Amino acid sequence: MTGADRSSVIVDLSRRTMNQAARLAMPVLPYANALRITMSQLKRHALARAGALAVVWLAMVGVFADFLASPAPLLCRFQGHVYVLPALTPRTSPIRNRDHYQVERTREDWAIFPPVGFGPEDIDPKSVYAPPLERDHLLGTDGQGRDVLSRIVYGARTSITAGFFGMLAFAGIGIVLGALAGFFGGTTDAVITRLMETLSAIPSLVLVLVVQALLPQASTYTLVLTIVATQWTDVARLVRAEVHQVLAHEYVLAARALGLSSFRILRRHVLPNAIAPAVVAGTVGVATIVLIESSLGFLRVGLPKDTASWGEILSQCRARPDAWWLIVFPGLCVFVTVVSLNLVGEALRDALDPRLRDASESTAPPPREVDRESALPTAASS
Amino acid sequence: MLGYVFRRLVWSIPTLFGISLLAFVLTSILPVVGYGQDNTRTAVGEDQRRKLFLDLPRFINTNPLDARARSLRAAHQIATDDAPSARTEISRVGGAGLPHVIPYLDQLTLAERVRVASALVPIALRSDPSLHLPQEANELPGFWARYWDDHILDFTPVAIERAVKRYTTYEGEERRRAILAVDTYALDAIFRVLYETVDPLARARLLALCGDITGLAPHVSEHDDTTTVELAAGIWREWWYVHRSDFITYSGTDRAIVVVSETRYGKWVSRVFSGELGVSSRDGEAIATKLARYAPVTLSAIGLALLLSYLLAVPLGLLTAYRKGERVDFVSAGVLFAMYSVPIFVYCEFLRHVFAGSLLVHSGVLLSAFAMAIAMTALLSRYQRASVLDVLRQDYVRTAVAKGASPWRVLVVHVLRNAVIPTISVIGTQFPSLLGSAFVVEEIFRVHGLGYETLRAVEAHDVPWLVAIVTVTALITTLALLVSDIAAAILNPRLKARAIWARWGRV
Repeated sequence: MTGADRSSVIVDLSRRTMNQAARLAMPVLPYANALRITMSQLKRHALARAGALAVVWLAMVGVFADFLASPAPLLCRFQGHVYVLPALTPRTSPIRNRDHYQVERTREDWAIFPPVGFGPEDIDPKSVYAPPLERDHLLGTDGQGRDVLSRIVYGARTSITAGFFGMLAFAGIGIVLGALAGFFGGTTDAVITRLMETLSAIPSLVLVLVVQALLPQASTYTLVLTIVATQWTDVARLVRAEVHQVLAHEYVLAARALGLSSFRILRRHVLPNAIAPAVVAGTVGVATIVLIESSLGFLRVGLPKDTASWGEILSQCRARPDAWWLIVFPGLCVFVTVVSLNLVGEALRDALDPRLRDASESTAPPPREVDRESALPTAASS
Repeated sequence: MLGYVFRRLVWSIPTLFGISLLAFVLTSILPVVGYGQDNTRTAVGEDQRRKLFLDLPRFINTNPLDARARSLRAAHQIATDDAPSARTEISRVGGAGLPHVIPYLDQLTLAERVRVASALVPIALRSDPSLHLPQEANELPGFWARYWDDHILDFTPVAIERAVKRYTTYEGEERRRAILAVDTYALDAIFRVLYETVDPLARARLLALCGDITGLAPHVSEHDDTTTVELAAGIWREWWYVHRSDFITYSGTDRAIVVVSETRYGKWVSRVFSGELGVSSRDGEAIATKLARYAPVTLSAIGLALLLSYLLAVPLGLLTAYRKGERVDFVSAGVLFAMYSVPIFVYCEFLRHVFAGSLLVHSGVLLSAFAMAIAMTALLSRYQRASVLDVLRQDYVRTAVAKGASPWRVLVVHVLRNAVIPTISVIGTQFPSLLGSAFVVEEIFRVHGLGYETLRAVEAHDVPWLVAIVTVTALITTLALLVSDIAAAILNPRLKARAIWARWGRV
């Protein structure tokens, strides 16, 4: 056996064992994964749990808005035929609203109506600025005679969908770009960091206001896209910092030594451990989007006309200052959403972000901040 | 220290470049720009396109159109197919194109020469109404050859500059006619002299000349009062900024520079750097003037809010950290959390109800500062509390306590200075949201600041203002970030050079 042969066998053997070792020894997880942390924090913090429940509940209200507020019944038998959800098929639906049903019904007919008997754009000209509980309007009506409760229900749809899809988008962009910047460093890092710095210098609300005003067809989608354009920087910054920190761990060095490709290291070993702070930023980001959306509704800029929005309801109290129900109920909705999201974010931050954690609580010596400041991709962890 | 400040300044250059690029992209991508409300190109839209430099390429202009290129192109078109639009164009470019078109006539066949020469007639009529034009069209080329022999010396930069300067100083009908004789060729000199002239009467004279030469509004006469003249001067300056290239001829190094500068981006950047942000399409006022009027209102409200919230947040953070885990801490945490989560417009409506009828309502700046300070206080005191807790853990605090220093002394002397640094550097990152909330607040309290003006601009679809406001707010934020970084560095000598890395390196 020549020397070259022997060495190649050794290399081969060592690679095989190392591969096995790598497969067996999972990377040390400082955070477990983001989902598990979220769950454990929700389990521990009662307030965060309440917040999460409130958000999920509001999201459900938004998703099922059609079944909660509509003049048409959910399920009915009308003049001998059974109709399921005629509200969703208004063209073929024989029933226009409750009154129509009451007049036209035969003896055997029956119907199940949704809890709110008005659509968000149904105008009741007889009751303008009706206070709560007047003429079947549980929360009163606004300046055009539209039912406030119904508009709140549909407003939840606008807010929560904007928040949710916006969050998915900006978290995705932020994680990818932040990870790339943190992992590859150099030019990539410089470019992405400059981009982050530039975009985070622009006030989201101002940008959204201007873009929505300039676009010929402003919609909720363009609103979300514009918010995403500035909002991803927070996530990217956090992920980038976290990637820097993870890179200092030995298991990354081990993975490098094993000759794994950069993308594999990034995807399998670095990213799962660096993604957690993005969860916090994502949660708080939803709150930001909800706030911006309702602010725009309040300013009546940029949302398509007649879009049900909490802010839009609120803005109507300026014409009638004594119409307290136009402030209290939508205001409460925005407040509850934002508080809930912040509570969840807070609980997660407690676990993930040492900077706002009470330093004296943890007995563990390493103030991780020190790590972070000096955490360069090449820095050894020693 | 100085080194750090310098480095920090240098580091903000790429950011500024990025902002300029972004605002530029905003102007050029948005489909609505330059089109009518129904998204069709209209005659007005064409003019609008020109104003927004949409006729120029984005970043590199390999074929910049100056007076020479434009008039020769028009002449060529007239020679080949006698297009009416080319006739308008050649007459619009006017005297500035004559030095190039008249020699070009020699290259054409007789019929073509006659056509082009007849297209030039409006210029001759404009430049000197008393000129004797030949009756026969065939004689026109000969007329132009003679004309050129007579006037070639007037069409030199030196001659025209001297003529304009003399007219500015001494006026007189003869001198005026001498300038009119070279038609649009005089515009470059007129505007150059206009920038140097301060005498309002002379300015009015020069502006009147611009109106006479181009036949465009606004017309100014020497009897107009100063404000009218200055308003017209703004509009004329804007017009010149857009149309300058039509009336000058690039030569020498200029040709190399215009490859970059005669582009949409080049125009846009040079305009921003010279403080010329264009003219608001809503009321025709220069945007720079408007900004100078409204920005102080908004910034003072924000400054007041910041001052107020620091005055509240720093002691509050100190107290809650010192009394950590006690009832005070617990209650204030809850209250602050709620304060932080209430949307700003809800506060404002609330404040408006509370102060309805009282004098405070009339002072919108105070009220809006107050409303902004509420949310800001909540945030800042949380940061302050965290950093105080961090400092309380340090050895030197323990030493101070062991030495028998009173709690007050420990907190104020030993803790406060170190604990306030992170809280100060927070401003930089919070400034964008503060500006955003200022926009909402101003609308509610009817404070005439940037936000109020922007919302009116949104209603009127005032594109120049809207683009300018994005740029300006971004610049303000960058500046705020710079100031807060430097302030933090001054307070904390340890930070110095690392501050810039640290902001991205940690949460």
